[in-house]
Amino acid sequence: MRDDTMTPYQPESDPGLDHDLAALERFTPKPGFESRVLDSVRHPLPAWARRTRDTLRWMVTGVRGWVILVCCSAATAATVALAVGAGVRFSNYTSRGGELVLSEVIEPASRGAAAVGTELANELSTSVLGALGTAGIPWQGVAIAYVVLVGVSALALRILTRPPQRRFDA
Amino acid sequence: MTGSRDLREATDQQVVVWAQEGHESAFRELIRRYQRPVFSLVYRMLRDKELAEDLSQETFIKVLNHIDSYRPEHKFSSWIFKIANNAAIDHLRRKELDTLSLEGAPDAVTQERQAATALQIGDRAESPLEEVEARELGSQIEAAVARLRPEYRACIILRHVEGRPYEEIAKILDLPLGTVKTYIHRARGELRQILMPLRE
Repeated sequence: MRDDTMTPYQPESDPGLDHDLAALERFTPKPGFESRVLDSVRHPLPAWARRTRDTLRWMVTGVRGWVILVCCSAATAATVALAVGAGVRFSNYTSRGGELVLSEVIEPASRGAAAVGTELANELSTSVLGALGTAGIPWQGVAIAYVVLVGVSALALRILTRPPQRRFDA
Repeated sequence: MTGSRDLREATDQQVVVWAQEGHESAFRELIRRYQRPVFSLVYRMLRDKELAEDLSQETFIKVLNHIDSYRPEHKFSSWIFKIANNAAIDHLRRKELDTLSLEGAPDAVTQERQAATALQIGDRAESPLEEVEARELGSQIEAAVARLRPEYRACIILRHVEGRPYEEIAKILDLPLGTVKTYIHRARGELRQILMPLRE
Protein backbone atom coordinates (compact mmCIF):
# COMPACT_ATOMS: atom_id res chain seq x y z
CA MET A 1 0.00 0.00 0.00
CA ARG A 2 1.28 3.43 -0.88
CA ASP A 3 2.06 5.92 1.87
CA ASP A 4 -0.25 8.90 1.40
CA THR A 5 2.11 11.30 3.09
CA MET A 6 4.75 10.59 0.44
CA THR A 7 2.50 11.43 -2.49
CA PRO A 8 3.82 14.57 -4.18
CA TYR A 9 1.21 17.30 -4.15
CA GLN A 10 0.83 19.27 -7.31
CA PRO A 11 -1.39 22.31 -6.83
CA GLU A 12 -3.49 21.96 -9.96
CA SER A 13 -5.33 24.77 -11.63
CA ASP A 14 -8.85 24.09 -12.80
CA PRO A 15 -10.87 27.29 -13.11
CA GLY A 16 -14.02 25.33 -13.99
CA LEU A 17 -13.85 23.21 -10.86
CA ASP A 18 -12.88 26.20 -8.73
CA HIS A 19 -15.91 28.02 -10.09
CA ASP A 20 -18.14 25.06 -9.27
CA LEU A 21 -16.70 24.79 -5.76
CA ALA A 22 -17.28 28.51 -5.27
CA ALA A 23 -21.00 27.74 -5.69
CA LEU A 24 -20.89 25.77 -2.44
CA GLU A 25 -22.35 28.03 0.17
CA ARG A 26 -22.95 27.97 3.87
CA PHE A 27 -26.30 26.81 5.17
CA THR A 28 -28.17 28.41 8.04
CA PRO A 29 -29.75 26.48 10.88
CA LYS A 30 -33.37 27.09 11.87
CA PRO A 31 -34.16 30.39 13.60
CA GLY A 32 -33.70 30.23 17.36
CA PHE A 33 -30.59 28.05 17.14
CA GLU A 34 -28.66 30.43 19.39
CA SER A 35 -31.34 30.40 22.09
CA ARG A 36 -31.67 26.63 21.96
CA VAL A 37 -27.93 26.26 22.48
CA LEU A 38 -27.78 28.82 25.29
CA ASP A 39 -30.69 27.14 27.08
CA SER A 40 -28.54 24.05 27.46
CA VAL A 41 -25.27 25.76 28.28
CA ARG A 42 -24.50 25.94 31.97
CA HIS A 43 -22.82 29.04 33.23
CA PRO A 44 -19.92 28.35 35.53
CA LEU A 45 -21.17 30.69 38.27
CA PRO A 46 -24.31 32.69 39.08
CA ALA A 47 -24.28 36.31 37.90
CA TRP A 48 -23.62 37.83 41.34
CA ALA A 49 -20.68 35.50 41.93
CA ARG A 50 -19.25 36.31 38.50
CA ARG A 51 -19.60 40.02 39.20
CA THR A 52 -17.84 39.63 42.56
CA ARG A 53 -15.08 37.59 40.96
CA ASP A 54 -14.71 40.07 38.10
CA THR A 55 -14.52 42.96 40.57
CA LEU A 56 -11.91 41.17 42.65
CA ARG A 57 -9.95 40.34 39.51
CA TRP A 58 -10.13 43.97 38.42
CA MET A 59 -8.95 45.11 41.86
CA VAL A 60 -5.88 42.88 41.95
CA THR A 61 -4.73 43.74 38.43
CA GLY A 62 -1.42 45.59 38.05
CA VAL A 63 -0.42 48.59 40.18
CA ARG A 64 -4.02 49.15 41.32
CA GLY A 65 -3.95 45.72 42.93
CA TRP A 66 -0.81 46.45 44.92
CA VAL A 67 -2.14 49.85 46.11
CA ILE A 68 -5.36 48.25 47.31
CA LEU A 69 -3.48 45.38 48.91
CA VAL A 70 -1.11 47.72 50.78
CA CYS A 71 -4.03 49.82 52.08
CA CYS A 72 -6.08 46.79 53.06
CA SER A 73 -3.06 45.18 54.68
CA ALA A 74 -2.40 48.35 56.71
CA ALA A 75 -5.98 48.27 57.96
CA THR A 76 -5.71 44.55 58.67
CA ALA A 77 -2.41 45.01 60.49
CA ALA A 78 -3.91 47.77 62.67
CA THR A 79 -6.93 45.60 63.48
CA VAL A 80 -4.74 42.60 64.33
CA ALA A 81 -2.46 44.76 66.51
CA LEU A 82 -5.50 46.12 68.40
CA ALA A 83 -6.90 42.62 68.88
CA VAL A 84 -3.57 41.25 70.14
CA GLY A 85 -3.12 44.25 72.43
CA ALA A 86 -6.58 43.80 73.92
CA GLY A 87 -6.01 40.07 74.29
CA VAL A 88 -2.75 40.60 76.11
CA ARG A 89 -4.27 43.32 78.30
CA PHE A 90 -7.00 40.97 79.54
CA SER A 91 -4.95 37.76 79.47
CA ASN A 92 -4.45 37.80 83.29
CA TYR A 93 -8.20 37.68 83.92
CA THR A 94 -8.64 34.97 81.28
CA SER A 95 -5.85 32.82 82.65
CA ARG A 96 -7.16 33.19 86.21
CA GLY A 97 -10.64 32.06 85.16
CA GLY A 98 -9.16 29.24 83.16
CA GLU A 99 -7.06 28.23 86.14
CA LEU A 100 -10.11 27.92 88.37
CA VAL A 101 -12.06 25.85 85.88
CA LEU A 102 -9.18 23.53 85.14
CA SER A 103 -8.35 22.97 88.78
CA GLU A 104 -11.89 21.79 89.40
CA VAL A 105 -11.73 19.23 86.57
CA ILE A 106 -8.30 17.64 86.51
CA GLU A 107 -6.55 18.94 89.53
CA PRO A 108 -2.87 17.94 89.33
CA ALA A 109 -2.52 18.32 85.59
CA SER A 110 -4.54 21.48 85.36
CA ARG A 111 -2.60 23.15 88.14
CA GLY A 112 0.64 22.54 86.33
CA ALA A 113 -0.74 23.65 82.95
CA ALA A 114 -2.39 26.72 84.40
CA ALA A 115 0.76 27.68 86.21
CA VAL A 116 2.78 27.41 83.03
CA GLY A 117 0.08 29.26 81.06
CA THR A 118 -0.09 32.03 83.58
CA GLU A 119 3.65 32.34 83.64
CA LEU A 120 3.80 32.56 79.83
CA ALA A 121 0.90 34.99 79.61
CA ASN A 122 2.47 37.23 82.22
CA GLU A 123 5.80 37.19 80.45
CA LEU A 124 4.18 37.88 77.08
CA SER A 125 2.03 40.68 78.40
CA THR A 126 4.98 42.26 80.12
CA SER A 127 7.12 42.16 77.02
CA VAL A 128 4.39 43.29 74.57
CA LEU A 129 3.10 46.07 76.82
CA GLY A 130 6.69 47.10 77.43
CA ALA A 131 7.34 47.18 73.71
CA LEU A 132 4.23 49.26 73.08
CA GLY A 133 5.12 51.65 75.88
CA THR A 134 7.49 54.54 75.92
CA ALA A 135 10.47 52.21 76.07
CA GLY A 136 10.32 52.09 72.25
CA ILE A 137 8.48 50.21 69.51
CA PRO A 138 10.37 47.40 67.66
CA TRP A 139 9.88 48.99 64.21
CA GLN A 140 11.93 46.37 62.37
CA GLY A 141 9.64 43.62 63.66
CA VAL A 142 6.51 45.57 62.76
CA ALA A 143 7.86 46.27 59.26
CA ILE A 144 8.76 42.62 58.63
CA ALA A 145 5.35 41.45 59.91
CA TYR A 146 3.65 44.03 57.71
CA VAL A 147 5.55 42.97 54.57
CA VAL A 148 4.79 39.32 55.32
CA LEU A 149 1.11 40.22 55.75
CA VAL A 150 1.04 42.07 52.41
CA GLY A 151 2.75 39.16 50.68
CA VAL A 152 0.41 36.55 52.12
CA SER A 153 -2.66 38.68 51.27
CA ALA A 154 -1.41 39.20 47.69
CA LEU A 155 -0.80 35.49 47.25
CA ALA A 156 -4.18 34.55 48.70
CA LEU A 157 -6.04 37.06 46.51
CA ARG A 158 -4.24 35.99 43.36
CA ILE A 159 -4.99 32.33 44.04
CA LEU A 160 -8.65 33.11 44.73
CA THR A 161 -9.11 35.21 41.59
CA ARG A 162 -7.00 33.35 39.04
CA PRO A 163 -8.73 32.04 35.89
CA PRO A 164 -9.86 28.41 35.88
CA GLN A 165 -7.32 25.70 35.08
CA ARG A 166 -7.12 24.63 31.47
CA ARG A 167 -7.13 20.90 31.55
CA PHE A 168 -7.78 19.57 28.07
CA ASP A 169 -6.12 19.97 24.75
CA ALA A 170 -8.02 21.71 22.01
CA MET B 1 -17.78 45.50 30.35
CA THR B 2 -17.74 44.59 26.65
CA GLY B 3 -19.97 46.25 24.08
CA SER B 4 -21.45 44.34 21.16
CA ARG B 5 -19.31 46.39 18.77
CA ASP B 6 -16.15 45.46 20.68
CA LEU B 7 -17.19 41.82 20.59
CA ARG B 8 -17.79 41.84 16.86
CA GLU B 9 -14.39 43.36 16.24
CA ALA B 10 -12.58 41.14 18.72
CA THR B 11 -10.57 38.08 17.74
CA ASP B 12 -11.83 34.59 18.56
CA GLN B 13 -9.27 34.34 21.36
CA GLN B 14 -10.51 37.55 22.98
CA VAL B 15 -14.14 36.47 22.73
CA VAL B 16 -13.23 33.12 24.28
CA VAL B 17 -11.51 34.87 27.20
CA TRP B 18 -14.69 36.88 27.82
CA ALA B 19 -16.74 33.71 27.55
CA GLN B 20 -14.44 32.06 30.08
CA GLU B 21 -15.21 34.96 32.41
CA GLY B 22 -18.88 34.02 32.08
CA HIS B 23 -20.16 36.83 29.83
CA GLU B 24 -23.26 35.62 28.00
CA SER B 25 -22.72 38.12 25.19
CA ALA B 26 -19.42 36.37 24.40
CA PHE B 27 -21.21 33.01 24.25
CA ARG B 28 -23.72 34.54 21.82
CA GLU B 29 -20.93 35.98 19.69
CA LEU B 30 -19.20 32.60 19.37
CA ILE B 31 -22.48 31.01 18.31
CA ARG B 32 -23.14 33.85 15.86
CA ARG B 33 -19.70 33.41 14.28
CA TYR B 34 -19.70 29.64 13.98
CA GLN B 35 -23.31 28.50 13.65
CA ARG B 36 -23.32 28.62 9.85
CA PRO B 37 -19.87 27.07 9.27
CA VAL B 38 -20.49 24.29 11.80
CA PHE B 39 -24.01 23.59 10.58
CA SER B 40 -22.88 23.59 6.93
CA LEU B 41 -20.09 21.14 7.64
CA VAL B 42 -22.33 18.74 9.58
CA TYR B 43 -25.21 19.11 7.11
CA ARG B 44 -23.00 18.33 4.12
CA MET B 45 -21.50 15.36 5.94
CA LEU B 46 -24.85 13.87 6.99
CA ARG B 47 -27.36 15.30 4.46
CA ASP B 48 -30.02 15.30 7.15
CA LYS B 49 -31.14 18.73 8.23
CA GLU B 50 -32.76 17.70 11.51
CA LEU B 51 -29.81 15.57 12.49
CA ALA B 52 -27.38 18.28 11.44
CA GLU B 53 -29.26 20.75 13.65
CA ASP B 54 -29.08 18.35 16.60
CA LEU B 55 -25.40 17.55 16.15
CA SER B 56 -24.49 21.22 15.60
CA GLN B 57 -26.38 22.08 18.76
CA GLU B 58 -24.58 19.33 20.66
CA THR B 59 -21.26 20.59 19.31
CA PHE B 60 -21.89 24.10 20.60
CA ILE B 61 -23.17 22.86 23.97
CA LYS B 62 -20.07 20.70 24.39
CA VAL B 63 -17.74 23.53 23.37
CA LEU B 64 -19.39 26.21 25.51
CA ASN B 65 -19.74 23.97 28.56
CA HIS B 66 -16.02 23.20 28.37
CA ILE B 67 -14.90 26.67 27.39
CA ASP B 68 -12.71 26.79 30.52
CA SER B 69 -10.68 23.89 29.19
CA TYR B 70 -9.91 25.62 25.87
CA ARG B 71 -6.20 26.26 25.42
CA PRO B 72 -5.54 29.58 23.68
CA GLU B 73 -2.41 28.34 21.89
CA HIS B 74 -4.78 26.46 19.54
CA LYS B 75 -7.20 28.09 17.12
CA PHE B 76 -10.77 28.15 18.36
CA SER B 77 -12.03 27.36 14.86
CA SER B 78 -9.91 24.19 14.77
CA TRP B 79 -11.34 23.11 18.11
CA ILE B 80 -14.98 23.59 17.20
CA PHE B 81 -14.62 22.12 13.68
CA LYS B 82 -12.83 19.12 15.14
CA ILE B 83 -15.66 18.44 17.58
CA ALA B 84 -18.29 18.96 14.88
CA ASN B 85 -16.48 16.73 12.38
CA ASN B 86 -15.94 14.00 14.99
CA ALA B 87 -19.64 14.09 15.85
CA ALA B 88 -20.57 13.76 12.17
CA ILE B 89 -18.05 10.98 11.50
CA ASP B 90 -19.17 9.08 14.61
CA HIS B 91 -22.74 9.30 13.41
CA LEU B 92 -21.81 8.16 9.90
CA ARG B 93 -19.95 5.20 11.34
CA ARG B 94 -22.92 4.27 13.47
CA LYS B 95 -25.51 4.66 10.76
CA GLU B 96 -23.35 3.84 7.73
CA LEU B 97 -24.65 6.86 5.91
CA ASP B 98 -21.69 7.26 3.61
CA THR B 99 -23.60 6.90 0.36
CA LEU B 100 -26.13 9.64 0.02
CA SER B 101 -28.23 11.27 -2.60
CA LEU B 102 -29.48 14.75 -3.25
CA GLU B 103 -33.04 13.47 -2.98
CA GLY B 104 -32.52 12.66 0.68
CA ALA B 105 -30.82 10.30 3.07
CA PRO B 106 -31.06 6.58 2.26
CA ASP B 107 -32.93 5.87 5.49
CA ALA B 108 -35.63 8.40 4.54
CA VAL B 109 -38.65 6.23 3.81
CA THR B 110 -41.46 8.76 3.93
CA GLN B 111 -41.90 11.79 1.66
CA GLU B 112 -41.64 14.13 4.65
CA ARG B 113 -38.39 12.51 5.69
CA GLN B 114 -37.05 12.73 2.15
CA ALA B 115 -37.97 16.41 2.01
CA ALA B 116 -36.27 16.97 5.35
CA THR B 117 -33.10 15.18 4.28
CA ALA B 118 -32.83 16.60 0.76
CA LEU B 119 -30.27 19.36 0.40
CA GLN B 120 -31.85 22.77 0.04
CA ILE B 121 -29.68 24.72 -2.29
CA GLY B 122 -29.72 28.46 -1.85
CA ASP B 123 -29.09 30.94 -4.59
CA ARG B 124 -27.01 34.04 -4.93
CA ALA B 125 -27.88 34.93 -8.51
CA GLU B 126 -29.38 38.26 -9.44
CA SER B 127 -31.45 37.54 -12.56
CA PRO B 128 -33.96 34.67 -12.97
CA LEU B 129 -31.71 33.02 -15.56
CA GLU B 130 -28.67 33.30 -13.33
CA GLU B 131 -30.77 31.99 -10.48
CA VAL B 132 -31.72 28.87 -12.46
CA GLU B 133 -28.11 28.38 -13.54
CA ALA B 134 -26.80 28.83 -10.04
CA ARG B 135 -29.34 26.37 -8.67
CA GLU B 136 -28.43 23.83 -11.33
CA LEU B 137 -24.73 24.32 -10.81
CA GLY B 138 -25.21 24.17 -7.07
CA SER B 139 -27.13 20.92 -7.39
CA GLN B 140 -24.46 19.35 -9.55
CA ILE B 141 -21.57 20.30 -7.37
CA GLU B 142 -23.48 19.36 -4.22
CA ALA B 143 -24.30 15.97 -5.73
CA ALA B 144 -20.68 15.50 -6.70
CA VAL B 145 -19.44 16.42 -3.23
CA ALA B 146 -22.01 14.06 -1.70
CA ARG B 147 -20.50 11.18 -3.67
CA LEU B 148 -17.06 11.67 -2.15
CA ARG B 149 -15.79 9.56 0.73
CA PRO B 150 -16.49 11.29 4.08
CA GLU B 151 -12.77 12.03 4.60
CA TYR B 152 -12.48 13.64 1.17
CA ARG B 153 -15.78 15.47 1.69
CA ALA B 154 -14.61 16.96 4.99
CA CYS B 155 -11.35 18.09 3.40
CA ILE B 156 -13.11 19.69 0.41
CA ILE B 157 -15.69 21.47 2.58
CA LEU B 158 -13.10 22.80 5.00
CA ARG B 159 -10.82 23.90 2.19
CA HIS B 160 -13.26 25.29 -0.37
CA VAL B 161 -16.28 26.38 1.67
CA GLU B 162 -14.59 27.45 4.89
CA GLY B 163 -11.31 28.47 3.28
CA ARG B 164 -9.20 26.81 5.98
CA PRO B 165 -5.46 26.38 5.38
CA TYR B 166 -4.08 22.88 4.91
CA GLU B 167 -2.33 22.97 8.28
CA GLU B 168 -5.56 23.72 10.11
CA ILE B 169 -7.46 21.02 8.20
CA ALA B 170 -4.74 18.56 9.25
CA LYS B 171 -5.26 19.54 12.89
CA ILE B 172 -9.04 19.37 12.64
CA LEU B 173 -9.05 15.93 11.02
CA ASP B 174 -6.05 14.60 12.97
CA LEU B 175 -4.27 13.72 9.76
CA PRO B 176 -0.72 14.36 8.55
CA LEU B 177 -0.40 17.44 6.37
CA GLY B 178 0.68 15.33 3.38
CA THR B 179 -2.42 13.17 3.71
CA VAL B 180 -4.68 16.22 3.71
CA LYS B 181 -3.03 17.51 0.54
CA THR B 182 -3.39 14.10 -1.05
CA TYR B 183 -7.04 13.83 -0.06
CA ILE B 184 -7.82 17.25 -1.52
CA HIS B 185 -5.89 16.42 -4.69
CA ARG B 186 -7.77 13.14 -5.12
CA ALA B 187 -11.11 14.66 -4.16
CA ARG B 188 -10.66 17.34 -6.79
CA GLY B 189 -9.80 14.66 -9.31
CA GLU B 190 -12.95 12.72 -8.45
CA LEU B 191 -15.06 15.87 -8.62
CA ARG B 192 -13.60 16.70 -12.02
CA GLN B 193 -14.48 13.24 -13.28
CA ILE B 194 -18.01 13.41 -11.89
CA LEU B 195 -18.64 16.89 -13.28
CA MET B 196 -16.97 16.37 -16.66
CA PRO B 197 -20.00 14.80 -18.42
CA LEU B 198 -22.20 17.56 -17.06
CA ARG B 199 -19.96 20.28 -18.42
CA GLU B 200 -19.88 18.87 -21.95
